[in-house]
Amino acid sequence: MLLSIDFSSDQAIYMQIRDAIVTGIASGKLQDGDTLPSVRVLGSELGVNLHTVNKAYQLLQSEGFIDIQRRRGTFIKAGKTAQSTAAFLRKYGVPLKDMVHAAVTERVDRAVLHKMIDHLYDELAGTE
Amino acid sequence: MISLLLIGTFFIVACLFIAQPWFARKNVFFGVVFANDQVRNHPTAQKIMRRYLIESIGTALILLVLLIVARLFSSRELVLAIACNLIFFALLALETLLFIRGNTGMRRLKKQLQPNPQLSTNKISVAIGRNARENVLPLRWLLLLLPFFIATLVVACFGYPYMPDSIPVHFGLTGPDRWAAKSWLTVLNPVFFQLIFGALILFVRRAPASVKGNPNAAPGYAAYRKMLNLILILFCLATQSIFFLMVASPLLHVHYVWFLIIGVLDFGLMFAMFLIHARFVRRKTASGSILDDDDKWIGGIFYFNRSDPSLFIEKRVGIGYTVNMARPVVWIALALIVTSVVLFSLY
Repeated sequence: MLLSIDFSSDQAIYMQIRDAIVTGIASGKLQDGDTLPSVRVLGSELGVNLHTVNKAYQLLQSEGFIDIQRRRGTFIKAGKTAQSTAAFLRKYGVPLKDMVHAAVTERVDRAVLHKMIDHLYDELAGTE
Repeated sequence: MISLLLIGTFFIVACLFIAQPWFARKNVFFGVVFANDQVRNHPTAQKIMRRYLIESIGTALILLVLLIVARLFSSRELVLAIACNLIFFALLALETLLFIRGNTGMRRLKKQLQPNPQLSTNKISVAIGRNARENVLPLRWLLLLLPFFIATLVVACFGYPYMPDSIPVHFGLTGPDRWAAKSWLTVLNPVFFQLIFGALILFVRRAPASVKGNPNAAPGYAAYRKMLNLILILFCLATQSIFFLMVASPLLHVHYVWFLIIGVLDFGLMFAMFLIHARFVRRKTASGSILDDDDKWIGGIFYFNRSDPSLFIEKRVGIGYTVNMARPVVWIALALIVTSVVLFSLY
């Protein structure tokens, strides 16, 4: 898969790297055991600081998306969290997109949708 | 004979300098990256190239005349040596300046042209995951360099007491033509050089392409890098064998024909490098989004990118690799090399 970085984006580069890999896992483009380039190789191919790549990798590791082995390399871990994200997106990705599409056509402010989702999350998580 | 060799060398070096802008990817002109090679049909681009050709050939011819005059009229060896060095330095400096002027012209032209959406100053993508296995020359190839290195070291260390008082340090067409007093420094010098070569190959194994943006911005680059690294190893092997013969020559009788054969082999490798560059870089056509990072290439020649962790990068113009000037390590290494060369020539 292609990992794309936009230097002009407001989002920090390490977050862009992290998001791209999470999306890759969710979409099935990155599978369990796939190798990721080392911090140095990815840094020099993208032309970004090693600390930036390292930060992204550390974050991904702490979230359980990748496994960093000192000698053997970095591997994708399509574990429970990643798999359920992937399953959710596969099942509800299209209706979710349709809904957002409808909201965009109706000129609904994105903040309204964000707030609605936050509210629903709070409500449902609270009843559990 | 010597003057013919001198003029021949000058001729080859001058030709390489003049042809420099053409040793680049199709969409790179004087170190400035474009979306495609259409710009070469632009009247301004053609004017810049024509002017560059006339001026660089003119400069080389004037210096050639100076070289011949120096050869004819200098009776003292030292004066001739200084004159030759000055003329070669002038060639390097003037041709580089002319190139940089071409680079400035191309940058100005690029600003005037309609911006191409394929060129982006802020987007880059790289392939990861499946089908993106890193394509570098395996480390075990470097083991090829080990036998000659050990042999040179062994001969230098154990053969030292048996070596004569003056050691040949340079070989011309007709055998050794320069000697130095015997010392550990002179004898071990080839060993140091071999170490530096090995380290350099180790570093350029992963050097990224000079045009980025997406995997097809420099199509087939990984395969080209592998071939180039293999040629570098062969080149290193040839040089190592010269060093080995140099160290061994005071002990054994080494026929100078061996040096000649290795020299011819080196030329063959250089030629192969040109062919590989023409086939795997020059003829390829880039596609997809291309990163416009001209501001990282000073004068189109020197790479300076603070955020890039790479020490070495493919040359944007010319065959081989260049350093990332923004890395302090590079400056330290350069300073060390210059100091050691100066020290070695003094003592």
